[in-house]
Amino acid sequence: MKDQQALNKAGRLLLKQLIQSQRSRLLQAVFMGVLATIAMIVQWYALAHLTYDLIIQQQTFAEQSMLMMLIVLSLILRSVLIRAQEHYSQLASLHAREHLREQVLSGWRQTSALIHSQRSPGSAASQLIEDVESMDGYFARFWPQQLLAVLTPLLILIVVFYYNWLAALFLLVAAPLIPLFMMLIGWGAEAVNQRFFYQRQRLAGHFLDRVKHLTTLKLFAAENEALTEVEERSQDYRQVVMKTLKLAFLSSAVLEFFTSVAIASIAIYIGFALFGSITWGPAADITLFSGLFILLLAPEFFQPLRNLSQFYHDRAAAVAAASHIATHLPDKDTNSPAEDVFELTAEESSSTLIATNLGIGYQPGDVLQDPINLKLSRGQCLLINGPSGCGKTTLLHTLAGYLKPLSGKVLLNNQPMGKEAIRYLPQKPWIINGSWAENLAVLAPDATTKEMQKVLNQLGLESLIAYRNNDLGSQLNEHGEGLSGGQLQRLALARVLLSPAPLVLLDEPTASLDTESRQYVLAALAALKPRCILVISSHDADVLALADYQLKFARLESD
Amino acid sequence: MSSHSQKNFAPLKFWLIKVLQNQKKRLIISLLLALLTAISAMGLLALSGWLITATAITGLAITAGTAVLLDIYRPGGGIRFFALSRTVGRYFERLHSHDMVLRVIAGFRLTLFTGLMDLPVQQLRNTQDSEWLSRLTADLDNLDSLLLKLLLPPIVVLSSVLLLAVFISFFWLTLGVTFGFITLLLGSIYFSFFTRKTSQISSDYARQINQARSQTIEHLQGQLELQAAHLQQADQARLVNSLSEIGKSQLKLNRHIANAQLMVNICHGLLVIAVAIAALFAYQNQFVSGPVAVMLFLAVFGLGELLLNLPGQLGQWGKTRYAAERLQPLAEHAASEKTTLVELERLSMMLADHPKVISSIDTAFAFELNPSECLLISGRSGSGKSTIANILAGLEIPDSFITPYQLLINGIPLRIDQTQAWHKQIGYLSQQNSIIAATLYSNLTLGLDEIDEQQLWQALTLVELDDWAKQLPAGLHSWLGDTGSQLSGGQARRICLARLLLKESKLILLDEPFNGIDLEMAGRIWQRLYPQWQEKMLIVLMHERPAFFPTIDNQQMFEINLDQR
Repeated sequence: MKDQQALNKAGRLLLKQLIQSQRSRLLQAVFMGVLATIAMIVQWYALAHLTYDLIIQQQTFAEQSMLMMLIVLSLILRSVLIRAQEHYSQLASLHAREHLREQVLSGWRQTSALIHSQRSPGSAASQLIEDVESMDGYFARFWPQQLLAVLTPLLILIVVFYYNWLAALFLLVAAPLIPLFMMLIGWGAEAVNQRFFYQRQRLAGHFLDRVKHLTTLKLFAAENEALTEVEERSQDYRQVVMKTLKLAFLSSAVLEFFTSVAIASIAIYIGFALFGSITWGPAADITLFSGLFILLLAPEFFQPLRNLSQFYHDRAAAVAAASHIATHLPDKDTNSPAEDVFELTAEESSSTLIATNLGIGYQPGDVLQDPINLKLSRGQCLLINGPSGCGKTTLLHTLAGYLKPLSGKVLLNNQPMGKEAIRYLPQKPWIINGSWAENLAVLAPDATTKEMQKVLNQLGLESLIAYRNNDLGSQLNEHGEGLSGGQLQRLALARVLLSPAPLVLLDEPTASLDTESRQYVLAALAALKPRCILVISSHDADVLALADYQLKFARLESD
Repeated sequence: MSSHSQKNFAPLKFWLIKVLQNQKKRLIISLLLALLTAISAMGLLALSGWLITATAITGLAITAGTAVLLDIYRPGGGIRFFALSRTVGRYFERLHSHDMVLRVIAGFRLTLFTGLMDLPVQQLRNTQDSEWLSRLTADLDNLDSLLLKLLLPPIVVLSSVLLLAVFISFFWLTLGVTFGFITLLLGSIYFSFFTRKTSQISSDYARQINQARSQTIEHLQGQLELQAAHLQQADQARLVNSLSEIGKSQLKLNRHIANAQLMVNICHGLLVIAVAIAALFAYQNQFVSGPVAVMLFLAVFGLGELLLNLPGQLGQWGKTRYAAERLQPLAEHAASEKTTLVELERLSMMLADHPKVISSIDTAFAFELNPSECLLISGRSGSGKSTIANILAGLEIPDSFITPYQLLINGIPLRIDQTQAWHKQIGYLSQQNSIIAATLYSNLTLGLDEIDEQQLWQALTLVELDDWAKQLPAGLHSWLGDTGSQLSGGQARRICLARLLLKESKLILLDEPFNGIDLEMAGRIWQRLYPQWQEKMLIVLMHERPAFFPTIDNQQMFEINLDQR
């Protein structure tokens, strides 16, 4: 799959960049690891020597006190150095992941809101949080281990070679075979892991969706359908994961096998050599000391490779995660708006919105309405109406800068849409899990408490807050439970009144509102009008009264 | 102390029992395979050490002229055997354990979903979606540590230490017993201390991840408004804060784990040295032979690998406990019994003093309805229409202490256990659109067994969606985007209406049916739908009576205005 290869490449590139940023920490970790290896070699040297002295040379413990001290010291030193290695790797991983999350968030800022709405928030969140977290293994363990898996065995090889070149040969032959086999299997694991990551994201999105609509499912007695789906997804999940794991485990099994066989061969060789059955080659020089020393070093020779194999799964997972993240990152920083401070340009002298032969739609060539021409200045209001599905919201999206015009152009203060901060109020206002104050501040960051109270009074919401007894600190929740549609709409308008912008777009602000709410909303719109350009999609006659211009969208004839 | 450890252990116990009930055989197989692997690892080294030492001594003796007999072929074979068994054992153990865990988790997932389905809807709607998501997916993922990291490894280590102690005891009882006793004692003390210390950090970490997830989802849901206002970065600052908290906790946890590994490294090393010295001392005093001495301390050396992994594994305790705690209430929820209901012939309702239906405080809200009758309940937003609709649909059950109420089906009160049966008889259109992430076909045929495609098209035609559906890329089987956002509000509403048309019901309950649909289209659709529902009971809740509704003179149309009572 060519696409997949390109994705992987992008993912690997991303990982490379992140590694680069943490290079010094990672190398420090590796350095510690190398020093630890040297300490380990000293430790086993001393222990083998002690054993030899006691068993073959028949010396006493007292004579060997120096050696025993050496063993203990090198043991402690080795452990401390390993700890130091951990320290640096963990820091490197932490910073690399922070860096990556920054990139993802920056990418989100540059992605049109429409594209965001087409993606399940659950799966996007899972990417930012879980997928990035899962890369910890790659940075902290796998990457340093790549280097250590070469350096450590090399050091050991040199030492072993000094004492017995044949044993060294065993090790040398076994060594490259292992990564070779691992790579072969690892490639397969990577491909399967890609699928697994996608599956997990889909799983997250699927669950959120079914949970969100659980009430509906119950109403239509479709719970069992959903339950079956859940079961099926779980089975799929299990099977995909097992496929990945089978391959990952197989590659490490190969390693284990070669390792065990190598150790066994060395042990048997040394045994036979000491016994006298083998006399050629370096066998004659073997003693209990050198034999034991080599035997102790043999597992340590393979340990880094075994660790690497264990961590290889981390690499596959990280590449898969990085590839998916790379998909959602914009190609290059497309003239990103300079660090966005809260722009309140509503009070500037004049604002104009000019559309010239503007064609709107989602697909190129599929224009939803005839070309639009308009010119609006501050204090004016445009109403859009027409049958549902004809493009009213599309026009709003285009004015908000979320959609590119299919033809013609539209400019706000001589700039393309999206350059300046404006306000967009969709049909259903966005509510966060927080208090009134937080819900206002999130879209009106500069408002003071006093201003908030004033505006809430203006919209008739003060009694609601007083009733809840807790002033602006009282909680709302995600569904805006406990608040009616009208009250939510008024909250949305409160935000705009607190921080208006040169252009304010509203999608059906008075739809399905009770009379009281409608009055407040209309009054708020009237208050807002002089300070900005209003573009409202609505069927409401009272809103029409507010408008200076009207754009009637007609239903397109079907082909 | 004891209540703390109870708190630490109790939620895990709950899930552990479930596992033991269903997967006992698989667990035992995993344990045996793990033990086989551990023994093979130790055996490989130990036997090799024995062989080398034995051959060294024998070799020297032979060179010196003494005749000694030594069987080197059997040990050689043993070494080769251990080499193989270690590899094979580990491979199958890992495969088997992971498969078992995945099965267990799949079972948990079903249990949880079933539990959710049984929860009263009130509880469902009071919880944030992102929290539900995190429970189901992430907490479940965390639960797999229960088996793989918290249960199996400690048991394997414990058994290995015991076996090793027994093995050593064969050769020198004192050493074996001392070794076993000290290792187990020190190990248990240290690891339980370690677990307790890290468990809080670990569960904090899990909690912070959940919080960050909720905030992220919120942030994404607000993109339409945030982006236009150039406030994305400001809102992202909230996220960044939460994310850095996560980083801090993780670093703290990892530090503890690394320190524990340092301790284990040193202690294990000292243990090997101690056993080596003891064994060599025994050799000098001729309790044991040279080869055996070497064999013993090499076997202890082989234990290192198992011990070194324990800190990392036990460090997951808190995270796993946190997940277990959060999921337990859902799974413990008893399945509610479901009973049948008579066929609806007469519906009556009475509601008084409901806090959300303000007018019911002065005068009780009540009505009676028969088939072929239509009731229009009108009132401004906030007057309680949706509350009444939810009560009628059985989705909300007022607390009868505070709110005297009655919902009578043919004169008999509707009981909670009859809710599911009631749902079969009603078609409820709630105020919010509810399009699930699935195909158009699936959305229309929710809960339906057999449906004729022609009926589907008929329904679509009645709501004027047939043309739109025809031009979709896969027609009826087109996927309605993950968040259903490829639909306009009006289109989504009409799909929900079409759903109702396809469902058999005795009562049709519509809450603001024409939300997002312009007046003219609403009128046309109504003219087509009303006749379809002539014989049913119809209750419509709207903020005002639209022009195209029949006048109230009509015998069969009643209106209750919640504002004018």
